[in-house]
Amino acid sequence: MSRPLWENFFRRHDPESQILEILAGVPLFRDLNQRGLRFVRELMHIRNYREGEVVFEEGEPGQGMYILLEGEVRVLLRGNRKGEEVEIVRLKTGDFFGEFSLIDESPRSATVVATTPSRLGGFFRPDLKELVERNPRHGVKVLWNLAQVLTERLRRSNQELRRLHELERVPRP
Amino acid sequence: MAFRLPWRFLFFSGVLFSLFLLAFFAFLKLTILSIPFLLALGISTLLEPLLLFWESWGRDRRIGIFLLFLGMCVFFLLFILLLPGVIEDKISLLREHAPGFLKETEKNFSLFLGSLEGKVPGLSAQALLVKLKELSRSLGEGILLSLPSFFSHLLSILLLTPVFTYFILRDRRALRRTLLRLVPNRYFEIVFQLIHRVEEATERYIRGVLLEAVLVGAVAFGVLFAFQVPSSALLGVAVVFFNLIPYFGTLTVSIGGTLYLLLLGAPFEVALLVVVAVGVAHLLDNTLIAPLVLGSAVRIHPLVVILLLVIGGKYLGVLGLVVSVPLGAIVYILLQESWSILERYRLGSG
Repeated sequence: MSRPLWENFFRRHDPESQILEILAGVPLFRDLNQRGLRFVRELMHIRNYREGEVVFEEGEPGQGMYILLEGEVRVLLRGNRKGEEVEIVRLKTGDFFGEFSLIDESPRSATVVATTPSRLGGFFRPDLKELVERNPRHGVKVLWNLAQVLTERLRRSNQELRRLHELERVPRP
Repeated sequence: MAFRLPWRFLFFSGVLFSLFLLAFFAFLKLTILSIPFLLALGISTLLEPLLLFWESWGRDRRIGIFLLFLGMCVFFLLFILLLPGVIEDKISLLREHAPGFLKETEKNFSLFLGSLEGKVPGLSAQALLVKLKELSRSLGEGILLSLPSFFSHLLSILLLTPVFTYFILRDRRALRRTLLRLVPNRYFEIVFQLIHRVEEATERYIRGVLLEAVLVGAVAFGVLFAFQVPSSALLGVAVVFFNLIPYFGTLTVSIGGTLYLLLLGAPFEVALLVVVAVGVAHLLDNTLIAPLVLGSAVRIHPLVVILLLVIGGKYLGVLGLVVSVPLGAIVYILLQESWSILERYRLGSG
């Protein structure tokens, strides 16, 4: 359903409501009402990155997740023995990454670099803890959603492993 | 892209931190502001869990702060209403017994000095007694003269502390966010983690130390109350405050409390019970209270504690005695956490 022109016109001039709209689309903040989303927004750290600027590097201890509010980033993996990096995906506005670090301080599994001037919202472990402490109703929802997101990632990894295993069993011609 | 130690960043952070420490030290010298500020920091650290609990019900933080202040006002008003009666009572007791006790002490002391006169060469009991009297008179005059400035200082502390506490409780998070905004992107996560950990450890330490002082005071009060020692509540409160000064505080409150009871006309064996009560509280503190309350909170080596107390006392007087150890602990936490975070970044990135 298309929205009236005036609605888009006003929305474009209100960055806060744009951020709330993006947050509402992030699976982690699904089911949060406007109050909950505003609470998350209050806790979030907005950072602006230049083109080519590193958000974080593979192996660094992670503090939490980032939501892409504007721009584009690429996710890189140390590919071969020479240490060359391989791009695995490009993320756009509304995408998020680094959510594993909301649970523990495990090392970042990839490097993320901004490919265009980008605006990112950081949501870190202490912020999640603060959300649970100050607003348990919304905090529990976010934790539940986080569990679902991580389960989904795990399921996909299992499927990928199974596929690779089956490929190995198929005799090569 | 291996993570390298950000030497330039570390150097500038070190310089900035040193400048901040110097500015903070200068601020501490300005006791009319620093005492209420430090008190407000302590009070807000204690009140924060209550506010978090309030917020967890989905209530507005500002209303929580308002209610807390209302409660404190009621408590303070009750205190002010009850205080004059208690003070009047104690002053009349002091008026009644203190002159007799002082005369008795003077007599005993001159007898003691007289017994020494023949044994110690060049000792004149009379001359020494006159000098001691002059000293005590000038000390008394000094105290009397400093009373007006003391009360104006006290009044400013009483007025400024709630104001500072209110703003710290209200704007602390906003201040932290503003500070974080100044950090470059590359070091944002490190600084964020550092601030968070230092804040957590510092809060744990301050709460631990304050709770420890209250429990030690309660034990001392319990012992004094059990032996029906007069002014046991007042002495218990004094133990709470003096417990904030490690080692010397215990000694001061023991001697001061005993003297106070003697001036009130209590028999010597009753007055000595203050030493017993403080001793029992101190013993329980070392064996039970401190390990339970402070737990994993930072512990500083006794030698470092004494060094901090001497430096703090020399440069900042009584305020230095109270704040030097917590400030030393905060710097220690900061260095410890900085090192541990940098080490993890180096290990993680290989």
